[in-house]
Amino acid sequence: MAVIIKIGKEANAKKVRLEMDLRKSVNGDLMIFDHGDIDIVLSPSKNKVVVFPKETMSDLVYGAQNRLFAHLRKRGIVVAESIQGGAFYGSLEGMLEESADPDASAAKLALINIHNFIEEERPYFEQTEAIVSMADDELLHPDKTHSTELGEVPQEVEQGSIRQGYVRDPYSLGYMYTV
Amino acid sequence: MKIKHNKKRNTAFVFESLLREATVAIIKGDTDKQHKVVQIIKKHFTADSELKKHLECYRSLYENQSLNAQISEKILTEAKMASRLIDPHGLFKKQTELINDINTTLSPSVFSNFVPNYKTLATIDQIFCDKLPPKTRVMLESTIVENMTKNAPENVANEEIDNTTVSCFVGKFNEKYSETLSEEQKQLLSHYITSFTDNAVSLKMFLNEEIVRLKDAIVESSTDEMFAEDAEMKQKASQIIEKLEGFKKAQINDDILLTVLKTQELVKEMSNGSNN
Repeated sequence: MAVIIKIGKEANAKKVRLEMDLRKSVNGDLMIFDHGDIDIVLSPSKNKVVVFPKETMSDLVYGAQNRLFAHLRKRGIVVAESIQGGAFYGSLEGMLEESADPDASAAKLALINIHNFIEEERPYFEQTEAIVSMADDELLHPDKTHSTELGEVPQEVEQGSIRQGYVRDPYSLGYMYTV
Repeated sequence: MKIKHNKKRNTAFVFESLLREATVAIIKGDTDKQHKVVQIIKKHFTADSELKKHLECYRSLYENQSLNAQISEKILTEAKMASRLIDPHGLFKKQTELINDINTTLSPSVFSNFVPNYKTLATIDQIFCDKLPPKTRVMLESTIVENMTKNAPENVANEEIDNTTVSCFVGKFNEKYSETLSEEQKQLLSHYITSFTDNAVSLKMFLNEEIVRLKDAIVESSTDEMFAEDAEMKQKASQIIEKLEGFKKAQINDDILLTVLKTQELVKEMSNGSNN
């Protein structure tokens, strides 16, 4: 059996494997679409992270943007005082810290931390998506207790909530106010 | 003799333009505009109005009817007769009211809407007008009759466009606009065209940077002597900066893109001017 021996700096390097829904743009920016409320852009060339709302701006979206930057700030990835609203509608941006170690790329560290943040948040936004989907499902496909069989409604002497001849029925009460 | 055609006085053209305006408003989800257009149509094109009668005269001629020549000619004679029976002063007054309503409630740009059968409408308008010489009138009438007798075109499925056609189109487009558009304008258009692929994130990112660049460029230029001497120019520059600042609060739309494109052009001119 052949034995592979690795020598040098790379020998002990750990591999980090991230699974994310992201796309690299032509100018090298990484666009991350995993989060339910926000789209995150990591720009290694401009050394910054920009976050946009997925649909419209709301408190929920601002909450997610704020939590992301708090997460990155606490871990020393972004410069705290650089976090500000962008020029575009609903955007929030922050500059990445300069890496002191020439071997550690600030953009790569930011990507790992953004991945961690998304994994932390995933149960919450997936739960929200599930609730929305459930609510739709309840309306579109109600269970037997909340639905009737399709077909003609059989004739009954008394049917519905309005009872004929009942003293408190809406028509009898109506006469009281006509006088 | 060539008679000038006033499209604002062409009842059918105005009606078609309004319909197109309403359609665009519905597609864009602009209910306010849609409501305004419908109100104008309801107000001016009531069943017994002069405008409605005039419109019906046009309609009996311009819609493709696949009729034979004899019936078409009869319809043409009747339509001309019906059009002459309409009180011209009353019609003129109603048209003026309609034009005024469109200009004030909507926009004069309604009259610039593309109406595919504009030529036919203009021809019918000239037939209804008494100023035409007999020969021209007969020639125009024969054109209208010819159109009425044509069979309706069958719906042909859109042919697939091959790569050669696309590359030819792209080549022509680049040839036409490569010198008129600046590099930044091309980038913006490119991001806009491909924005459907990535939830417009790359477009948003580009605009986020571009708006800042434009603002900085205008602020820098406004410190020039030229601006210091001209108070009006300085005021205009500050208005542009204010407008760019306002994009923070507005959702992306065509107006914003147009403003950015225009501002890019302005900044280019300003930088060229300062270099010269």
